[in-house]
Amino acid sequence: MRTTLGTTIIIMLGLGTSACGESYGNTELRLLVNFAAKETCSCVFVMRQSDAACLEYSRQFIPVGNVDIRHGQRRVDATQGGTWAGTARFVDDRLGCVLEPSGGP
Amino acid sequence: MKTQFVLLLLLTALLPRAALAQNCPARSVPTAGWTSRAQTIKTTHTSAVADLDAYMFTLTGKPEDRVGRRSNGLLVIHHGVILYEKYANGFGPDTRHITWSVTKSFTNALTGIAVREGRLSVDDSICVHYPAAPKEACDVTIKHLLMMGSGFDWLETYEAERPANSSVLAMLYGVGSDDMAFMVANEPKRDAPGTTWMYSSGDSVLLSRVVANALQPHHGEYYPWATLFDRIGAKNVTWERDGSGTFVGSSYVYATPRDMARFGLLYLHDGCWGTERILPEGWVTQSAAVNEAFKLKPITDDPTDVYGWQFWLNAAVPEQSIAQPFPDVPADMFAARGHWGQSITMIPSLDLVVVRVGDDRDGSTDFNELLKRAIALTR
Repeated sequence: MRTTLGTTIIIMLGLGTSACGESYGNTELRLLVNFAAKETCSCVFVMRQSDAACLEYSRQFIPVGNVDIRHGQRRVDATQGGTWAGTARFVDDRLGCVLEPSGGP
Repeated sequence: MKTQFVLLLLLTALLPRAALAQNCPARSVPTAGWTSRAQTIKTTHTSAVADLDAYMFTLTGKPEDRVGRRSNGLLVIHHGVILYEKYANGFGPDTRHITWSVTKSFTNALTGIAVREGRLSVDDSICVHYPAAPKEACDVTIKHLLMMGSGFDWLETYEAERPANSSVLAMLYGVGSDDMAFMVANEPKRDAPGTTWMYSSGDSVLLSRVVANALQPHHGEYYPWATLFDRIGAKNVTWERDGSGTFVGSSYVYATPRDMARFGLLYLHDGCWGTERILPEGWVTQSAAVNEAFKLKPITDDPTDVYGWQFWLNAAVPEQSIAQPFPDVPADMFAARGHWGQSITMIPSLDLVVVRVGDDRDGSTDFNELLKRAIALTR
């Protein structure tokens, strides 16, 4: 019985079940972290808006677990549930930001 | 004496022809910086300015609710001179703003430049310039991509609808992001090329890769600057690329509104910058005409959709019982438009360019209402 409950919880976490009870598939989570990483990067390094303004700018319907803006390294990392991760790097003033090759598990 | 006279006659005959070959009469462009009459206009057109301010810059609701018109910049250029310029929310004349699908019109420009250099023809199969395309894609021409008539199966929906099904989101942020053109070229066909019109960011990105293969060998990695931005004095432009180095021709130009206005003036002036021709003769006219695939079968729910070559139009389309989309705006208007309310609008009959950047999350800027108020500043 306990094993079944444990398995169910793991499956639900893997699907990224939100507090609202709706579940999100792998595709949406990947899109989510990559959107957060790339659009936050461009907002900060190309549009030169504040970190706070950019986190608000790239906020989507599903809240991303963590968006880490690294000014020194000129990159943004977005993670969701310790499983999904997207990174965008700022290249230069003309080329802006680019997503790192596909992340995720 | 007679020889010198004959030579002088020849010289006089040749000089005007050299100018005619470019067919670019000198027009007002900001070669040495912008001239602004905005302060004067505030006194001569007080209520029109107040009306435009109120319509475009009145914030409603709390910022985090993301409702209403959320303008970050608005620029009205008449006869090459600034009549109105306003910024908000941390943006200013030197800030680069995301343009989203306004980018598609920049892709049109690079395509025109490649045509003018003789690097490609719009009737070429994409396979001539993009050997990595699968053979099933070879019946698609450059013109089909310009028209958004490729026929590739595509779902252009954004964040408000079920994201997992969206082709454009998959291209930008999902499975396609490492090589967007390759993803598009390998989509199955919904229809034969040229028989239908359906808005597709995929067509614009594939076009960008094809044009890159034609221009990059001759102009280097930064070819959009070498061939376009440097020539129109646009010094504040960013254009992002995908993981394989393709400039994302659908979505990722960032620029100051003033640099967007330079692009607008290029198109207002038939593809000329001063006396220098940048786009082929007839290119802008063709780009601002209702395209052949659209006339055959436009697939859309929006009755204001009328399309040329990577530009939105204000023409009626009798073949499809479509009325003129924006009734208070001259019919020769054509525009670049992007997600969340970005736009560059050209109205040749009024010698007018209007640039708007913003963050509208509920689509509440009515394009007709914006342009009507901008036009009022010229009367």
